[in-house]
Amino acid sequence: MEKPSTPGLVAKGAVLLGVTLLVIYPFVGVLGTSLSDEVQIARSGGFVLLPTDPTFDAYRAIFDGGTVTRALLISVLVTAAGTLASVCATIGMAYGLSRREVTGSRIILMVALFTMLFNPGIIANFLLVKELGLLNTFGALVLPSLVSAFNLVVLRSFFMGLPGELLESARMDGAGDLRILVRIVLPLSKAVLAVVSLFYAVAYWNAFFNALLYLDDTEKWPLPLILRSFVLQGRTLESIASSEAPAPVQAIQMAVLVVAIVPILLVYPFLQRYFTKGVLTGAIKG
Amino acid sequence: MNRRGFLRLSASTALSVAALAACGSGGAAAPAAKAQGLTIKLPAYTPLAGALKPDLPGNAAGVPEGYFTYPKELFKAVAKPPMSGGTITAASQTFSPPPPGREQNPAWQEMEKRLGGKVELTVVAADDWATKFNTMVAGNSLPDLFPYIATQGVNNLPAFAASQCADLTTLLGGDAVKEYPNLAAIPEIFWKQGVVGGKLYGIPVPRNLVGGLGFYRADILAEAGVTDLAQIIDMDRLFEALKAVTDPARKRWGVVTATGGLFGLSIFSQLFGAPNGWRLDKATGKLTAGFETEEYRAAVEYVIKLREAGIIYPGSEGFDTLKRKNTFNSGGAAMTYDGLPAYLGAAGYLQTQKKIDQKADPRPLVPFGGKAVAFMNNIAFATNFVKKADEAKVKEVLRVADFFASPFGSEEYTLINYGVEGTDYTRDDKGNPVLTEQGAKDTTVPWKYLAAPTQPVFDATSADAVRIQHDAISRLIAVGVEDPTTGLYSPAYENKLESLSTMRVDRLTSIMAGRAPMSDYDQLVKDWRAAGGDQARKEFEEVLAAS
Repeated sequence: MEKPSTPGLVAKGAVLLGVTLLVIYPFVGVLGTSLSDEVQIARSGGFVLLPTDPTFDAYRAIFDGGTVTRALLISVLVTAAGTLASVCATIGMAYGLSRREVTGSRIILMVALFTMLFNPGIIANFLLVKELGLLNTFGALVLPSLVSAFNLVVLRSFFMGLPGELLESARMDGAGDLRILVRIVLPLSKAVLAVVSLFYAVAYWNAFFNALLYLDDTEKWPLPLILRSFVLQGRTLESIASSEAPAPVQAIQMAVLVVAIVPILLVYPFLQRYFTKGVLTGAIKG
Repeated sequence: MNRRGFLRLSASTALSVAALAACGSGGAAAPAAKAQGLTIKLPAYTPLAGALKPDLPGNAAGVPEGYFTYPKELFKAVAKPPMSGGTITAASQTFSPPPPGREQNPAWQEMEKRLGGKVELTVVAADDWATKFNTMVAGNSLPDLFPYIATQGVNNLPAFAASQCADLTTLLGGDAVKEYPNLAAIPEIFWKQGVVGGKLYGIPVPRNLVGGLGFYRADILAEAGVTDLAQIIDMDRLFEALKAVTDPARKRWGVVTATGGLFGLSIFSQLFGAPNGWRLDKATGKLTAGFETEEYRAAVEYVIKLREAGIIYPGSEGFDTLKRKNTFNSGGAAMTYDGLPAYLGAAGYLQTQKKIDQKADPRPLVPFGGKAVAFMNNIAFATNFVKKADEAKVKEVLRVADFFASPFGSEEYTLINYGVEGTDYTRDDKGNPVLTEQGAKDTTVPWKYLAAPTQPVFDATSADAVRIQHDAISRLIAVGVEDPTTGLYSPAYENKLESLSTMRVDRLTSIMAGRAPMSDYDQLVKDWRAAGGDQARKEFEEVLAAS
C-alpha cells in the first residue's frame, strides 16, 4: 500500500481533530457550566466553557437533599435487577425458540415479533399494569419491558448458529436441556450475551417514561425522571403560567446531567469490544 | 391564567399537545355538547373580617394589597382541622424538581398534622401533565382534587365534568360558600373561571388578573432619552427608542422573544389596544375575534417593522424560555414579554439582574401611548376540580381547599409558603421569613396550586420593588379588558381550539418572520372563519344573547 503523503496525513489529522472537538464541545460545556456560579452563567448567556472560578456548589446541592442520591440508588438497583431478569427471560425464550423440534415455536416467535411492529399504546399498557396491581411498584419499571423482541431475535439467531452436532453429542452423553444450555450454549455465547446485557442495561438506565406513568410516589422515581424534572424546569412553554416557575439554577441542571452520563460512560468502553463482534455474529450466522 | 389564554400564548407546542390529546378520552360516546351560558349564582364574595393592615391598599376592582414586611403576629385562618383522619388524594403540576418526600420533609408532616389527615400527592412536571392526566382518566384513577388544563385533551369538557367531577354549584354558590370562609374571600371574577357547561366545577387559584405587558430595562431605555414611559407618546417614539438602544456590536437589541412568543406580539397587541380574545359590541351583540381587528393587524405590522429594522434579537424566535430570560437578564435586550409574576422573588428579574449588574433596573411595562389595554389573562393560575364522590367526601375536600386558601399572614399561609419555623425558615431582623436551604426544597411541594387566596404583592427585600409592582398592577387593571366569552361554552370553539390556534399562530409567525407577505393576513382570517371561527362566534353570540 502506498505510504500517505505528509500533507495528506496533516489534512486527515485536521479533519479528525475538528470532528473530535465538535463532539467534545458540548460535553465540556456541560461540565464547565456545572462548575460555574449563577452570575457567571447569566453573564455568558447560559453556557460556560471554562469556569473562571470553579465551584462544586451545584454538586453539593443535588447530593445534599437526598433526592438525587436515592434516585441514583434506585436506578442502579432497577438496572441491575432488570437486566438480570431480562437476560434470564430472554435466554430461556431464545433457546426454546432456537430448537426446531419445539412445536409451535414459529407461532410464538411471530407473536414476539409482532410486538416489535405494533404496540398497544399508553392507555392500554397503563390499564394492564393497573390490573396487575403493579402501579407504584418497581415491578412496573421492569415487567412491561422484560423481553425485547429485538434482543430475543439476536440471541435466537446466535443460538441457532451453534453447531447442532455439539448439542447432539452432549445429549448423547446424557445431558438434559438445562445442562446443555448452562454448560454448552451459554459459555459459547459470552460475546452476544454481553451485547444483549448492555442493550438492556442502557435501556433500563435511561427509561423514564414507565416511571412517569406508573409511579405516583416521587420517592420511588429513578434518576432519569428526576433528571428530566431538573432539565425541564425553566423550559416550559412560553406562557404566563410558566412565569411563576422559579428560574432554575443551570449549574444544577448540568451537574445532574453529568451524574447521569458518567456511569454509562464508564461501563461502555469495557463492553464495547464485544459490541460489534456480538451483534455481527448473530446477524451473519442467523 | 385562563384555559384559553394558556393556549393563545403557548400555541407553538399546540401540535405536540394535539398529538397527546389524540390519546385522550374520545368524544365519540359522549352526549352531544351544546353551547352554554353563564346563569348560575357564583359564590358570594365575603371579605375576611379582621384581616391585616396592608402598606398599600387593594380595591374592589381587584388591585391587590401590598406589603413591605411579613406580619410578625400570625393569625389562625382555619379554626379546626378540615379532616378527621383518613386520606385524600390530589394531583398537581409543578415547575420544580420533585420535593423531598413526607419522611424527609418536616413541612409536609406539619401540614398533615394541621389538616388532620394524610394527603397522597401526585406531583407531575408541567410538561408531562397531559400524558399523566390522560392515563389517570383512562385508568379511572383520578384523585380527589386535580387541576383542569384545556390542553390536556378532554374533548367534551361539560360531559367529562358531568360524569367525573363533583358539581359545586349548590355547595358553594351564593351564601353556601360562607361555610368555607377563606374560599368566600375570593371575588366573583375568579370563580367565573371555574364554570363549565353552566355549572360551577372549578376552584380557582387566583392571580393578579392581568398578565402584564412584559418588562423593560429602565436603565437601557434611559440611554435613548426615555426616563419615564409617559414620555413615549406614541408607537413611533417607542420604535425610535428601541432602534437607538439596538447595537449588535455590543450584543444588545431592542426586544428578545422565544419560541411561541410571536416576536413579542403580546406586548404590542396590548399597546395597540387589541381585544382580549374577543370584542363584544354591546349594542349589537356581535363578537369580533381579536385578530380580525385593525388594532391587532397594526400590532402585527409594527412587529414586522421592528424585525426588519433589526430591533428584535436575531434568531430569538427559536430561543427557549430559559435562554430568553438569560438574554434579558444579562442586558442583551431592552424589552421582553413575560408574565408579571416573573418580576419579584429570589429568581425574579429584579433580584437576578441586580446580582449581575448593580445598575440594572428592570421594570414591568405600564400602559403608555394612549391606546394601551391590559388583557385580563392571568385571572387564575388553574382551576381545580373535585372528583365525584358522596357529599361528605366532597365537603371534606372543599374544607381542605379552604385550608389552602388561607390568606397572607396566617399560620396556614406561612406553613404552605415557608414551611416550619426554625427548620425551613428563620426570621430576619425585620421579622421577614427567610428560607433555609432545606426550606427551599421542602416548600416545592405544590400545595399552593391546590387552592390559594388572592395574591398580595410582597417582597421582603425591597419596598421599592413592591411599590413598582403594585403600581404596575393598579395601572394595568385600570385599563384591563376581560374576555367576553369567559365562563361561556361553545362546543365548536372548545373542539377546534387547538387547530384554530395552531393555524393562526403558524401563519402569523410566517408573516411576521417575512416568509409570507402581509397580504396573506386576509386569507388567514378567511380560512380561520371557515375552519370553525364563524361557528364558534355564532355559538358564543347565541349564549351571550340568552344570558
